Amino acid sequence: MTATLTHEKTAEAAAEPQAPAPRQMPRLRSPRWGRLVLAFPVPLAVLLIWHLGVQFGWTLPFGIRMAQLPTPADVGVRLADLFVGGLLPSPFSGEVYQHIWASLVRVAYGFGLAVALAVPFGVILGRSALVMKLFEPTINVIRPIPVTAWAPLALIIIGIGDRSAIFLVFLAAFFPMLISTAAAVAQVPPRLLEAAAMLGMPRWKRMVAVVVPSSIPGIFSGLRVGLGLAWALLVVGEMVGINIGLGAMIFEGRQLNQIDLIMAGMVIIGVLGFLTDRLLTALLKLLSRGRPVLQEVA
Amino acid sequence: MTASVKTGAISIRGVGKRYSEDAPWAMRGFDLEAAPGELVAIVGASGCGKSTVLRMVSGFEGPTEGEISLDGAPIKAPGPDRGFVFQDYGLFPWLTVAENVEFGPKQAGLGRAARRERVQEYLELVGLTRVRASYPHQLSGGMQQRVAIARVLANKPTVMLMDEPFGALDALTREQMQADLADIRRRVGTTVLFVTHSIEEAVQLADRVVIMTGGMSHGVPGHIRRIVDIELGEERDPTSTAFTDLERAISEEVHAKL
Ligand SMILES: Nc1ncnc2c1ncn2[C@@H]1O[C@H](COP(=O)(O)OP(=O)(O)OP(=O)(O)O)[C@@H](O)[C@H]1O
Ligand SMILES: [Mg+2]
Repeated sequence: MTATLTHEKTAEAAAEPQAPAPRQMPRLRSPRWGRLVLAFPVPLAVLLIWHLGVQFGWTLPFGIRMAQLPTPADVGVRLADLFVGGLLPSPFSGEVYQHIWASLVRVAYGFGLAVALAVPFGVILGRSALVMKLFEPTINVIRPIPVTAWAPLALIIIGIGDRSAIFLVFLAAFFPMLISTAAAVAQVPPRLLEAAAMLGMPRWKRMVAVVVPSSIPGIFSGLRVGLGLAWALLVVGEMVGINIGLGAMIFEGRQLNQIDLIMAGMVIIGVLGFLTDRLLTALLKLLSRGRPVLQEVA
Repeated sequence: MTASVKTGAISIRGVGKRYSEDAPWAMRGFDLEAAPGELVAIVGASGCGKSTVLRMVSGFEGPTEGEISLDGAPIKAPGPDRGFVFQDYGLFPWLTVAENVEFGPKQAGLGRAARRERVQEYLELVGLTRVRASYPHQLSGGMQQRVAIARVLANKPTVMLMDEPFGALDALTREQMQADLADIRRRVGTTVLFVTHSIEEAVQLADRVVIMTGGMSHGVPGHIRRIVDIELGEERDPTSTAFTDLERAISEEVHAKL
């Protein structure tokens, strides 16, 4: 997505009035249309192979027995049932919305809290050698522990329920965002800080008004990684002791041996992960109001 | 030059700098008094400490020994009274041209209307009103450096410090920028310390040229070899004998053995 943004900015720059008219390049009539056409063949092939694999009972590497799987059409029916109901005899018929909502709320809380703490702390960490020296060893020991390994502990110390799921989401998103914010902020060109200083900006203000905008690309890619991990840990966090949520729904599918329900849940989480990532990008675009914040600084 | 200039006297006395306790002196024994409104160029081989001098006047670095003052007040930290023009411009890429110029006046607490006026005034001075809404990356190097100059002058500094400001520009742009700088300086009357590798540029622009020599790679701290007065008046012809004689004399001093 970063690449897309950068690309669009370059196109804008080329369209600036004072720039000489760019030579017309031969290309597809509409690049958007071209991209759409290219987006289809691979997923269609995947669906086709999936279908054939189920039909002929292929066994794939890792001992994946495709005969166990529902066909893409089965999953499609399950999805339709989840959203509109009345197609399958299931307690989940037409009930998916509350699960989606519950999961979204948990991701929003956990991820939001992680952003609110990781970004400011990352800025301080990346700009203060003292703070870095104080915290780096601790962070380096805690960070490699997979967040999934925290799950059993969280269940015990926090208890079954919302809060431990949110805690896991928070933890999953926190460290990658902290690290990438600190790294981005440490790489702010010293020249820009000097420029701000000689223009009369006090030191504390430079942290906000120069350091942050100048490290948006790094902070933002950290946010995207964090959001992805937030969804990953959401599913883990919702699998025990939670009744409402996509993770819980998937786990229920496992208990009932309804594989199409599991896969429908996976599809929904995939789509939500994609959409929330898009939302994050849109939000950045909105907040930056067309400023070249994602432009690589020459 | 402008008659109203009273401030902008730089006094550098016995200044030396070493970048750490165990490092050798980068430069030492530097004495220079620049009068208000004067343009002093500093030339010398790479590593003799030209940038170091400028950065100490700006307050980015502190001198290890000696004193630097502006109009009698010792320099402690960077400030808007001493604008710095970097070779690589140092513009804020996420701000428009106008916002870059507005940056200093905003820090100074100027009101919105006064700021807009100030921006307009200095964009006009450097001839960039048309691109006020553009972002730095959309401009040529020469235009970016004009923005950087306007951004500094918008603070009405008493001193402008320029470290190889035109070093990254092509020859044609560079000549134009030199002419424009001479013109701008006549109008704003700021004292200028100007580091350059081009002796021709120094003779073209300066009232005095400081020739530095030495440097850590020579085993001698960087220091002033000579200060040459350039008495060529306002209109300078680089092909005139007076000009080329000065150029040759300075060049010999720059390249002479220690
Ligand atoms: N931040 C620093 N830390 C340590 N040493 C430095 C630092 N800045 C400059 N020096 C050293 O001080 C000496 C003088 O450097 P300076 O940049 O002032 O030279 P200069 O005359 O500007 O050279 P150039 O013409 O290449 O720009 C050099 O030997 C350089 O390595
Ligand atoms: Mg230098």
